[in-house]
Amino acid sequence: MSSELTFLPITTLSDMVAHRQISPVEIVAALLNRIDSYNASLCSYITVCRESAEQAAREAEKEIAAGRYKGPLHGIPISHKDISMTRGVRTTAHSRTLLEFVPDDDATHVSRLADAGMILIGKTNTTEFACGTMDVFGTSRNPWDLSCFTGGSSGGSANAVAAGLAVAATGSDTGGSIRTPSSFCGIVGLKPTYGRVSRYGVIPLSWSMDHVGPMTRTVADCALMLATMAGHDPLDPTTSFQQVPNYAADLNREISGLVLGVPQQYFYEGLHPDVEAAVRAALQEFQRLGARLEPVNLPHAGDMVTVGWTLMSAEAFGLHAARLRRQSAEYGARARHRIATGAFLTAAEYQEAAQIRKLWVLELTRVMRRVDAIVTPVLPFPAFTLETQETNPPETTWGTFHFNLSGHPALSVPCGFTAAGLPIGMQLVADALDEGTLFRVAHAYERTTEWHKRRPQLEAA
Amino acid sequence: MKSVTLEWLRAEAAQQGLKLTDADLESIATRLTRLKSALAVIRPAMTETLEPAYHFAVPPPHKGS
Repeated sequence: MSSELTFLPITTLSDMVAHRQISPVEIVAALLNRIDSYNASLCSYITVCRESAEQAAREAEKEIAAGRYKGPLHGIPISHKDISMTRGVRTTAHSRTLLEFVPDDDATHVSRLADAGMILIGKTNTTEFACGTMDVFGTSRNPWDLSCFTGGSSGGSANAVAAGLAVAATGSDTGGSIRTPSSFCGIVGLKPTYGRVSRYGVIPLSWSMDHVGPMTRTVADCALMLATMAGHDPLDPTTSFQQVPNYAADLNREISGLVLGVPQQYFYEGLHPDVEAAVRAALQEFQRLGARLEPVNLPHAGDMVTVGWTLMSAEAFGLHAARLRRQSAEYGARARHRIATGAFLTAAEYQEAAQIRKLWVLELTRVMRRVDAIVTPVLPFPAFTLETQETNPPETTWGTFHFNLSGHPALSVPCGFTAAGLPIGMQLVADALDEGTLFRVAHAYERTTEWHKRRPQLEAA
Repeated sequence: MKSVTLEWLRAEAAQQGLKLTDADLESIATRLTRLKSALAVIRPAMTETLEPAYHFAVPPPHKGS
């Protein structure tokens, strides 16, 4: 029973908690037990908050028993990427420069989820500063094949959710770091609209492309978490004042009549045959559900990985310059090289990349006026080996940087498995601040498919 | 496009107070050359109207407008 419990979605667990069929204490115990069994092989967590989680679970149990139920996230465990500041809990960003860093404050999304009653289980593994390697605490492994990479940088969050070491998690996404590991590990991951979720308290990489979002087992769980995480935050001036909709209310609406754009350039070129088959099968399923597919032109799509890396390198250097001057030797080689690259780009090149970005935003805006969402693969290939990641890493921002650049919301949803048993993800992209449509489309698809119900088979260490 | 030279990188790193080894600079040179070359190919043909946006995403949806 205990391992079954750790695979239940939030929506099911919260019903059970609300009706006192199960206590948060039991959920936390089951989760800690599974972490004890598998964290050594998966490297999901950098820090496990055992005692504080057990204490918080006992308090939640008492509150609920006393009739002070806070809502559907009360008593539900949450795991935060170790790049989100947590008051009193070490926050390392997987960097030797931050091994002893214990923040005095919570990131805004951390405090919002805590206020809703979620219980912090631990801090999940990340690549160094969300752009390097995982040398200090070990590299997260893909639960579907332990020789494979999770996709980075929110790899610990993704493999924890996929393997039942977390009920739900948060991640950050600058070039695809929520969607890529979600795709590789077979879970649901959302990069919200730029400005939808506060980045206050998240160790930054790129001021114009960093996003924070939920990583979950189901679309409904993702919607539930976003509703709590989202909204204006005076501590982050880039956050939107737009009201946060009740996503759950629209989740079950049919998608008949919706128009889904299928890009005619770039996104469907050079795909691994299993990825192509899975995403095209998903397109057919959308048609069967009554959506209309419309070809859309995005001629600048092929330029966006170059633009993304140019802007990210420059902005990351801007943020890291002082630390890099002081502690360059303490950075891992990959993070040091990627970040320091920004020191040697010219102002003209940064400006040039920003201009191409503008062209892309205009192009995408025109397309978004005609469609309700765009459908693409997240990546052209499934998860690859850790050895490949170490020696010659493929371009994992291939299909994702585009929407960090434009700010549009983008959701990774499981849509199949390769012949070798590795998950495949598709990406749904909607208009700015229209995460509701993403959830509605993805939920309709999820209800008619079983991909999200598969579980990786693991052997305890 | 001409490769970024180690000499230039070394001088620029010193100017910016960055302690980078030659191995670092070689890796950065490869990366930079690739990035600068790719960027040079995709430069916009017209730049006068392309002020970079502060708000990257478009405003809330107004379908049909």
